[in-house]
Amino acid sequence: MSLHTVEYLIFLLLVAVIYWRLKRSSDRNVLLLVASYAFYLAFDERFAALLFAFSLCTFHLGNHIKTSNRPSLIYWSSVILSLTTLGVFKYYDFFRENLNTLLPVFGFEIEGQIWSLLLPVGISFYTFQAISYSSEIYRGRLKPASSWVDYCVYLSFFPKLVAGPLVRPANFMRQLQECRKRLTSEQIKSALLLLLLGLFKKIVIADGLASLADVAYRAAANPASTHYYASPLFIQGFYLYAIQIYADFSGYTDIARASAALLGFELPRNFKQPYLAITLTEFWNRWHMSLTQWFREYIFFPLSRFLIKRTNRNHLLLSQSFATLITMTLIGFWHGPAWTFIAWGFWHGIGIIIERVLKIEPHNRWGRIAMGCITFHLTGIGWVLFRAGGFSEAIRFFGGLFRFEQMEWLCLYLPSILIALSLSFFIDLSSIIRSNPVLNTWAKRLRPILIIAALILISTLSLLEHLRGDLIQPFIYGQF
Amino acid sequence: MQLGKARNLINIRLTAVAALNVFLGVFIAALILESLLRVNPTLLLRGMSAPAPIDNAITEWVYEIHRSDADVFLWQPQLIESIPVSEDMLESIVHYQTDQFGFPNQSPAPPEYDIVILGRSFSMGAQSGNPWPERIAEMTGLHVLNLSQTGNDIDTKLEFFTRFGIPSDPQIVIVEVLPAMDIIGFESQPPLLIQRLPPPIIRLLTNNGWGRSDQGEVKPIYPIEAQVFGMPFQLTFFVNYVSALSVSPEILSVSNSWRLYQDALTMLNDVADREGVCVIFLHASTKASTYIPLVDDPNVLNNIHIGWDAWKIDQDRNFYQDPTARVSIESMQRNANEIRGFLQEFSQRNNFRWIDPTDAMIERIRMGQDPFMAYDTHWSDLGHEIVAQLISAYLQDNNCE
Repeated sequence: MSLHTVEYLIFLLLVAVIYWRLKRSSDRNVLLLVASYAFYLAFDERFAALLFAFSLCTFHLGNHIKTSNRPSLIYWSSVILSLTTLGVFKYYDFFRENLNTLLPVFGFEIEGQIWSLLLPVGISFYTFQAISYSSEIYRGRLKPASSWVDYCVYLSFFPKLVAGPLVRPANFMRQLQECRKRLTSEQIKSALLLLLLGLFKKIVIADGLASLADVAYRAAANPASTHYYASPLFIQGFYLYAIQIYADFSGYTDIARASAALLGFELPRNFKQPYLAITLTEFWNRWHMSLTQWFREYIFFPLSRFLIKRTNRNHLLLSQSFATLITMTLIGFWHGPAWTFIAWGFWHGIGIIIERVLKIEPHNRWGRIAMGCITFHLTGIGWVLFRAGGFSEAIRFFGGLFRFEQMEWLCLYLPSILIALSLSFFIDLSSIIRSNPVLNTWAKRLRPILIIAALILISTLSLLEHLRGDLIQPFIYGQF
Repeated sequence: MQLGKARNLINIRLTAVAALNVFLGVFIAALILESLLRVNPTLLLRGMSAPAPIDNAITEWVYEIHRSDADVFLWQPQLIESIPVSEDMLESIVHYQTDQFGFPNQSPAPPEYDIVILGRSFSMGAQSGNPWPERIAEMTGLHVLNLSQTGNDIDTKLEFFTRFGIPSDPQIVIVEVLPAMDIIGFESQPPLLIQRLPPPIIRLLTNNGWGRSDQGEVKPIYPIEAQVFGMPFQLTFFVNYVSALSVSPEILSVSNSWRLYQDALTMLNDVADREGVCVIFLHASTKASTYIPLVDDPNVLNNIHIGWDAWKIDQDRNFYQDPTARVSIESMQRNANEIRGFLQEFSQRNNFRWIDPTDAMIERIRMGQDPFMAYDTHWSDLGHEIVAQLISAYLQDNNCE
């Protein structure tokens, strides 16, 4: 059940109605658990069984960290269990394939089959949530959950189960335990607006327009031929994929946050106009913020502290750069078991290090605009690595992009880029406008018009998709 | 009293603001939707006349076509007896590829082409494992750019030619002419895509053919067993192509549709002339227009009146369908032949190059072969072969400059 379908909206409505009819917070949590597992069962019952078993194991390990004589052993057992679960389902085949290729070079032969396991939806997210939970308990920042129901809801809460955002355990547990007050009409209104915005981003921008980027990647997947594809096709793919992944993922997050808000929960923001960033460092402070925060907290800080300590603070920049590179590469690898994801993370890591070494900080407006453009294109190059099915595909994509072949077709591809950029820019701009009281007054006057327009567009495009008999396009981050 | 007036004024103001909001909301939605549909025609519905192909670009499918797969194209499947599994034979294996625009060509494409094809589903190669445009390329060694799409009217063909065809610098353009769909009932499409959306949406929602929702339960009439040249044939016709046979050349020649179509055809010819491209018109023979005149005993066709209404023209010379009108089978047989003659004569008069495969198809039928698919409306592999041979021979024998 995808978050942008009618089925999900009906499901959400039903859950919300029953939820607010229940008085006790413990009953509500039981309902959330049942609803979350019902939601997850709609994908595959095996996924739900795995999540349940995983939740019980990590709950018990987490609760024994402080009571055990050897807390570090229990803590690391919990971390290893989470990483093993993730590793087996997500990375086993990747390591096996690479070992199968690499070991014979050194004269070793191993017998191992590729398992081709089905990747459980949301596994990258809930295993990381479990690691946060045990880490916070181990560090003494969090008390273990009072009941397994609360912990299971923490891992499986349906709005964030498929693709986050990653929540801080203390924050979410507090929300679970406190008695959530009935929503005010203002809260309902703002949640519904966020829901509408998320649906608009996904259905209109990501699926309706920016999905045209797929054509360029299909072209790049075609092996070499005596003829070439027109370069404007790749130009379209380059820009539209940047828009597609942003609209798709931020659309998902908006729907998730809105769904949670309708149940009285507050999920963290994941995006803050990332394409308006003027450096890659800033981009990562605005893009998938909850994941960046997780890696900063549990990988970058411990690693850089360790390196700085080991070098007796003699190589501060070097230590930090190394920690940055490792963290960014791991972020890349977290997205998927492929060398292109690793390269994508590495690309960003190198970019951030260069920025730090060169101390790039433009002070005037034009300098900032120029840097913003450069940063956008650098992330765009990264997206090619991210989206391509392999290095050869990425190389063919860049080849097509920079060959400047059949440029006469540019006028055919340009409108889609301009419309997608304008719509995304307009949405980002509207978020900034809210902080300006004068502009906000105007924005409020325009709001009913935009709501009507968004509703018409969403319903028309959904109807057309249904009549065409197309498969529902899943969220991109739902595959990680 | 004054309070009441003030309240009324406030109410009027609120209503006016709400109406303005709705109007502006609809306007903005229409503007964005039109832009989206223009830049991404894959959002449109199959069979619609669109500014670019509705199929996804750079894709490849391989699928089998059995006799029962034809139903989707017939639009009134309730007229056909269910096909027994034992008779549901494989008719073709389709290897369908689209180029970077979504047209049925291999990709990546050469920057220039020799032949451009503008057609509807017949030339697009619907349901065929080896459609005639591919055969022409194999037979002549020329580069063929197929710009055909299901549902393309003559205006769209011209648009495709100027947008996608001319930049490829072709020497020849072959234009499919399907009188049953292109001319009869032809009217210029509304300029906006959002204006073209409601009819197919309503049709798909009611899922009951082209607006015939009042028909109720219909007893299947197809396939009809008929003797052709003394041999037994199982015939299934597509109602739109059958209804087209209710039009005589006399009626067609005075209709607005024909006037509009002639203008569009002449314009396409002129545009091609200006670009130095040789134009060939290809008559798309339908199963109905080919077989119905050949049936030995017209009485076996008595039931084919079911499922369609005869075409008439009103005082303003516009075509409309009249449920009360009856056309005899003999008239339909005559019309099928005479319309072909009428179009041929028109082409000769205007020095258009005209290829009609009907006679060649009839020759094959005489030999007991079938140039059409069993239940589908389109040409079989044999039909495509006949068309390809005719065009290839024409290109060899005639100086197309």
